[in-house]
Amino acid sequence: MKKSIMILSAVLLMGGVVSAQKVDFEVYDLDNGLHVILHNDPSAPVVVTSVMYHVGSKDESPDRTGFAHFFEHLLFEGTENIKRGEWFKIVTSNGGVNNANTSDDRTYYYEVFPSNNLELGLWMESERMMHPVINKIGVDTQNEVVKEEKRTNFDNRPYGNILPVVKENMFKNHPYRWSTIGSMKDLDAATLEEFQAFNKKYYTPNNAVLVVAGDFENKQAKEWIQKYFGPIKKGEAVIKKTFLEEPITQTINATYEDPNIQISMLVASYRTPSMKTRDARVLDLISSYLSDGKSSKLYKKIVDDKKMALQIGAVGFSQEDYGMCIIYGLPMGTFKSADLLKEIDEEIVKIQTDLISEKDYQKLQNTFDNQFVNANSKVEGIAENLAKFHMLYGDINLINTEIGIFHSITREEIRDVAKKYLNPNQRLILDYVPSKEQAHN
Amino acid sequence: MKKSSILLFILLVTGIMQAQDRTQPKPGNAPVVNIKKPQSFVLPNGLKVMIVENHKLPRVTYNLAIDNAPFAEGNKKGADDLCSSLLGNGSKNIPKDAFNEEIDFLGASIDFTSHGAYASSLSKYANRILELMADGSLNPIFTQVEFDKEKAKLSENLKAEEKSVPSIANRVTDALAFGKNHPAGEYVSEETLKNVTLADVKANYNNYFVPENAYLVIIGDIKYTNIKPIVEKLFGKWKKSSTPKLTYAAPINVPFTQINFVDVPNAVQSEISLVNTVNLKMSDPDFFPAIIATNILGGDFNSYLNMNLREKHGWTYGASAAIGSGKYVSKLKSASAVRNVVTDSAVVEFIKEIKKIRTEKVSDEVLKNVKAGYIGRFVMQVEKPQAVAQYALNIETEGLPANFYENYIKAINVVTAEEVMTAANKYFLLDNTRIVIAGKGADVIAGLETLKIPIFFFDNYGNPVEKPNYK
Repeated sequence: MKKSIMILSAVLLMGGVVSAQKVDFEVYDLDNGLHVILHNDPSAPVVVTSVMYHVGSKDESPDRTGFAHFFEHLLFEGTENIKRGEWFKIVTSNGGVNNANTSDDRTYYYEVFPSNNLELGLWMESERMMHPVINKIGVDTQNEVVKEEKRTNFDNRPYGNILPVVKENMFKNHPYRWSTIGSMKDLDAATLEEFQAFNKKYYTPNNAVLVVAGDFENKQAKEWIQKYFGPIKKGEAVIKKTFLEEPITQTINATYEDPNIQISMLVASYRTPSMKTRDARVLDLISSYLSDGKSSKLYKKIVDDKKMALQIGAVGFSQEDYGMCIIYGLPMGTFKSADLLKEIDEEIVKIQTDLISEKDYQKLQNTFDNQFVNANSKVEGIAENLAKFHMLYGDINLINTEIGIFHSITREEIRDVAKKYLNPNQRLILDYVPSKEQAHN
Repeated sequence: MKKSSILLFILLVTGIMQAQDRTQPKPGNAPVVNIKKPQSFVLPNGLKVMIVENHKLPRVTYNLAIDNAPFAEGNKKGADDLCSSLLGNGSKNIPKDAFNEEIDFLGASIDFTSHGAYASSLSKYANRILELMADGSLNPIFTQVEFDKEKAKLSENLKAEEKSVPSIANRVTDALAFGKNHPAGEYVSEETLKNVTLADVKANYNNYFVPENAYLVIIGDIKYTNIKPIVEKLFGKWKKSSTPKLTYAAPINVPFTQINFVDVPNAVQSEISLVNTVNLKMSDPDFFPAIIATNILGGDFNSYLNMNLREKHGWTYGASAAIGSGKYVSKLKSASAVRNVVTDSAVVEFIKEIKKIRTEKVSDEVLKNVKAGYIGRFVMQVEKPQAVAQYALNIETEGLPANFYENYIKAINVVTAEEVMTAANKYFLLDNTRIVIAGKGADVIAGLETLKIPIFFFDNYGNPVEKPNYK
């Protein structure tokens, strides 16, 4: 025991910032407003071409939810120069891989190719932006596929519906209230013209950022980018609406029955500010303090010492306009959700009352240093981080500087932010319970 | 019909006119790849150490992998899982809380299992993390208190998964394909867990956590010359010992195609798996034809199964096929989750596609594309430090020739359509396939009965039952 404490203090003295890691990049805009980011990394013969569009489920109309995610399917259907069903063949037959993903805030499409296929990757993404084919057969097929995606990822899976239920209870006015995959009823009701209009509005060069990352020459890349993306017409400026949520001042109580489970789950969700704010980053530290690692406060006490839960966790759900801090636990044996909540609340009150220890504070810094290095360890990850920091945070330099913000957060701020956001009357308590009857389709 | 083809023609023309310089670009010269080898050495106790220096980022990973043969635990299934849970909770030298605290304090992580450990850390803590990993692995403490706690958690975990359709499907598929007494077919249940004692966990550790088949792979911002003496000091004391050598009866595939149905009333999708066991080693001459055949059948988006079940019919989010390979018996499994109402139709299409790959020569275009996909992914990976280490490890553990990866691209390129078809016939045993379906009987069984394929019924654990009376 004594020995390990001595080692710890030696490490404390060493401390220090993570060195030897800076992501270099070049940025510029095309005349049509497309923002371009180039990042060179010749360490492997790989090149990533990706486009992030500033459109997510929060840009949908309340009676047409699921559009942004639906486009993640539709925009693989083909373009004026890529026939239906050819997209994936072109990628594979040139040695590449590709995919896309959608969140409430943005949609991200990418290809990863061996470095001799940069031009191909640029051509494909420019085709998708310039003139995708959005027709009935594509819409009809993907409508069925998306319904199966929803069944696979939500309805046929234990605890699959937690996030949709939490969101619908946490947001009353903001479009974050619906799930990213959306309502199947809305998708059934949507017309082809509505899909085409959505495409015209949001999938424009001036609402997108193109990233090229990996092993390539900047000069050649710029020529090709101009050649393929230059002729794409600028779209109308996208005006983002602001949706304000009244603060939660009284505990919201909700229950959801899941036919796929036998053990209830406790979910406590607090609304937090935009991920761009300093407070949101403080809350990231708090989530880590509560549940990262076996020595974290909630795990140590509730799972390890008191054996009250099978699992416990605190996750920050960071988004552009608002976020959520979601704490969840699976009570064990004779313990109930209420027992877990009592223990969780005790720990939160401690954070709100006393400063966390110097040692715990240093542990958080070390944890975030480690995460920072790993977040930029793969070229695919760097590409997405560059797009994210530019588009959603409005400051691409954060890819190198965000760690400095975390370092500058004080123990006092941790206490004050916990006091500001993590009070019992500011949260949703969701009882996620086994269904009493059988599944309803 | 005529009208639409004229329309198509017009579209084509306008397409060409607009697309003057927007035709698909050709690839540049293929990148030249170099295959590096890790630096390595062997300790007298048998531990093989491989080191890939990479100083791009200030971090390091350690992977201790013990490549033992799979073994069955019978009515004490669960001892090995509990051994994994109990490892890493302190050591004979450091109490549990101080041990966990120190790893977390360094911002690092170490995961321990009954067959190794994996650690990741910033390189400034490289030595200390390796010390903790070695200490936790080689000097573990197994206490009754921790044992009882982990056993209770494992039992609770079983309960949490009890109604999960995918979990039930996977368990029953393996139990039926390999048999419940086979290492690949047995599963943990409340009954077997009840029989496991602390002594069983200790015996498991003593028998199997030995350096005989062990590899330590170190990747990252460390120096070979610095880390080698540390490894020798920390792992040199690991006592040499040999694992029990057990053999198991080879699983036997069913004599005729059959549906094995499990009723899961809460299912909103049917989990369908077509499965037969296979023996395919990476060193087998038809290894590449076999993996290419599997890829064509269900390996990627363009595969026969996915294009049919997802893109043509819209019945599923995805359909795939995977073949196991290695030293031990494994399985070929084609699988998908489809909505209840199309369950029987999906079975028909699965059979059709497997038949197709067994009887029709794959087209030149498809074969060329699939090969290009393999080669591209290889080219992109090969120079990454993780791949350098993984390839070297595969050569050791899978008994591959030393130039296996140097020849990889060539070996893919020479595969012919005939070889693909031969491999499909050898490994995709359509006439000896179990079609395991976990789904809502009330919705799907009537449709399945129209297929004229014999149906056998099983419970959630793969025990035969009478046909239930569906409401």
